[in-house]
Amino acid sequence: MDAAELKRALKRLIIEELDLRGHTEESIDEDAPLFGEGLGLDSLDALQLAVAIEEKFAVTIPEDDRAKAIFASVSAIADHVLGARAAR
Amino acid sequence: MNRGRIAVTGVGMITALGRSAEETFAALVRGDRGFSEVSLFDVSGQRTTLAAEVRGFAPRAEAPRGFTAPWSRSDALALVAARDALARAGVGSGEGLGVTVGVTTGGMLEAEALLAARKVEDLRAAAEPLLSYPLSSTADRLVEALSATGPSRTICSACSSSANALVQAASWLVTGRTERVLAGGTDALCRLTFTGFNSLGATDKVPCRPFDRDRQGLTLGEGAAFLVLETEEAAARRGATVVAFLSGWAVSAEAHHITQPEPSGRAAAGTIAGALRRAGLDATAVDYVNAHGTGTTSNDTVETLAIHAALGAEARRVFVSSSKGQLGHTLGAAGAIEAAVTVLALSQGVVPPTGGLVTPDEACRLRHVTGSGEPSPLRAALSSSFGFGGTGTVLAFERGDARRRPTPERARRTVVVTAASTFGPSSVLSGEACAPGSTAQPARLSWAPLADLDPERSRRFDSLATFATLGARAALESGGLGEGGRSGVGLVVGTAFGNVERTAAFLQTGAEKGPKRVPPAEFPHLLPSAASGNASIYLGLRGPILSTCDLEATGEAAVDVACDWLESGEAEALVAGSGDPYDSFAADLLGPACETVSDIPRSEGAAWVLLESDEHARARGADTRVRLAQRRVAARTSLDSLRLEPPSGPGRALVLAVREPVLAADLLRRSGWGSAEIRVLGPETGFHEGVTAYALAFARALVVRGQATDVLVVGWNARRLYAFHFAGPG
Repeated sequence: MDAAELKRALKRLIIEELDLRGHTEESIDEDAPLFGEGLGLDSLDALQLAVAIEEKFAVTIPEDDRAKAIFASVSAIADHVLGARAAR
Repeated sequence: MNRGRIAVTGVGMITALGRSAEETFAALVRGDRGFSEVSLFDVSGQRTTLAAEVRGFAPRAEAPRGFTAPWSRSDALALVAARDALARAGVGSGEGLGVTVGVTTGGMLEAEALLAARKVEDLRAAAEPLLSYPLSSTADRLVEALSATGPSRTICSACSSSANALVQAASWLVTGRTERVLAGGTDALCRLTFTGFNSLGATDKVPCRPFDRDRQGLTLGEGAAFLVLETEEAAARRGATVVAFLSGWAVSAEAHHITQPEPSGRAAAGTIAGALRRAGLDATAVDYVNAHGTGTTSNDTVETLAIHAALGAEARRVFVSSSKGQLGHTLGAAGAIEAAVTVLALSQGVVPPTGGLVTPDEACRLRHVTGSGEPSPLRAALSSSFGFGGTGTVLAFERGDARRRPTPERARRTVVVTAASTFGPSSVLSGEACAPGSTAQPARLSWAPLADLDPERSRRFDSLATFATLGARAALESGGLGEGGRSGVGLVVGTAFGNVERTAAFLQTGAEKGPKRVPPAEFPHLLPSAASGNASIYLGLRGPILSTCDLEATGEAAVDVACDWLESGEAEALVAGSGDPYDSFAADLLGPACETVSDIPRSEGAAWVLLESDEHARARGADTRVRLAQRRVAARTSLDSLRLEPPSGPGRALVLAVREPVLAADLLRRSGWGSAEIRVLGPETGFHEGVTAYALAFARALVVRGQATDVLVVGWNARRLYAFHFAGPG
């Protein structure tokens, strides 16, 4: 899966897991912040997303502050997933 | 209706620290902590494996002699605590005794293994325990075991459930519906809540440390507590010792977030201030606060802000402790357990400590008690409970020898039905348009209610949350309470089983993939009170928000609770009703097993009424044409004693019921309703547990349309019969 494909898959996952019914792959800016501003997601969404991403992409999302940087945007999550895969 | 103050004449408890209130309180004062590895179910792979479990407890052994009905751990805990309270109070008879029970998961422990399996044959096996342990089962078991003949009610509002069970009891005592109530709550540990709180990262990995700098979350617990509450007059009549007085209380909602407290603490502070106001106390009279104090970073910080905001400079003087550092968070039981602890602190003159608190957090500057209890004469004390969905209840107690203060005479208030809504075949109907039909054929709504809600603000809503939000909004708008005018309104949602399908899916994921793979954000939506919480957040309702149930009379139960709270002054305006999404699980398995529904097809739908105090409605110029003329609830075994007033005048009287009211025929005849036309709505509405809410909404519409002057709605289940009489201007 290349980076573009991965980002599309992440967007679909975000829409489904966080029940973002008003959104499509196109309406989510891959570089916009996911939490607070931007999509307006909260800590509950972060927990949900972490479980879903760990399951679907077989990577680990740390529980501590590092998660914040990983969840900064769709692109940041994609970087984390690709980085974790490359390290394997 | 001045029957004196509300006296506490006995408290009972069972917790990880003891099999009685005395034992528990002595252990609390010593500084004991009740945490151990969970032995009730497999907790491997969870964030923490600790909880305050009641060890060496065999539920079956606690069942009354000859009791063969299914019996859950929550039921057994409740009965032990109830008997302890009654013994302490010296109450030996159930005659006239009311029962209120706060609960969040009840018999879930017994049902969940089967739910998680989710194979057809297992589902069939699960139907029996599920039906045996609906939320209302503990109240029913207590009534039976204690031969209690007064009213009974189940209340769920997440972690404030049993604090609200005490408020429910107080409302009966204030209005004279009964003069003695056994009020409390129970919750056994179960996989659903254990996995849920762990998945949210809300648990501490070591035993919880409320208010501590290093706190990381809560630790769950289990247990039950009951208080015997009675009017001062009734207590004096039988020469009972008054242990304490329940002097005041306040119930409100934050309308902020399903799990997070409103960060300024303003909402919680308002609830504390409300309880003091109702008690006629000011902060200088308060010596102790038994805090909600869960040990989560946000709760303890926000609660500290709230205590300071509500008590002002006095907050530096007032002792504060949380019992959760010793007993864990017992969820539905916590409000009652902590009320019992507060009462014993007052009566014994000892402030129990906060277990686990070593270094108080800078953000939690309060007068803490650490290590062991601190002897101090206490005059008045508060017990706070806050829960998911933004529910909050604060109770104010005074010592049993407190002097009586002059309090304003309160009159039982008249309730008016100012609006209604029903889910119709293609949209929500309101006002005069309310109709008794949702869908009977086919059984499912032919439209998608969720599409009518803002997608961003209704994320993760299940069908019941959608039904409650949409239905309440329609009723409020029809009643002239738009966005600007409804912040003081509350909501009572009837739900018999909660969301069985989504709960099963959550448990199944935990069982198959491990506890770390469950969807965390799903968990708060699985509690029975989630719909009322979600609707209150969406609509900005900050009055009391509750859920209740009474099996096939769940719509009646919700409206009954709302009427109680309005008559006694706990609220000024409440939307009440019930919604039942079509659930294949319920239809296939629970439906046929429920009594008497086989002749009517199962359907889905929801209906709501907006109820207000006459005063409130008049002050805002609302439509007060329809008033609640009378309301009766009686055990089916004692229908002969039910006194029903006749229709108010010579106009057109009508009786509405979902099924032919054969069992009420005698009652109707001898109470002057014999010549009223009976209209059976079942063929139009289909059947679901809350279906009588349709009859109530339709009854109002008939009066407003001028098609009837008096409408009596009759509903029942296997145990109780309800009658609501709506009357027009005549």
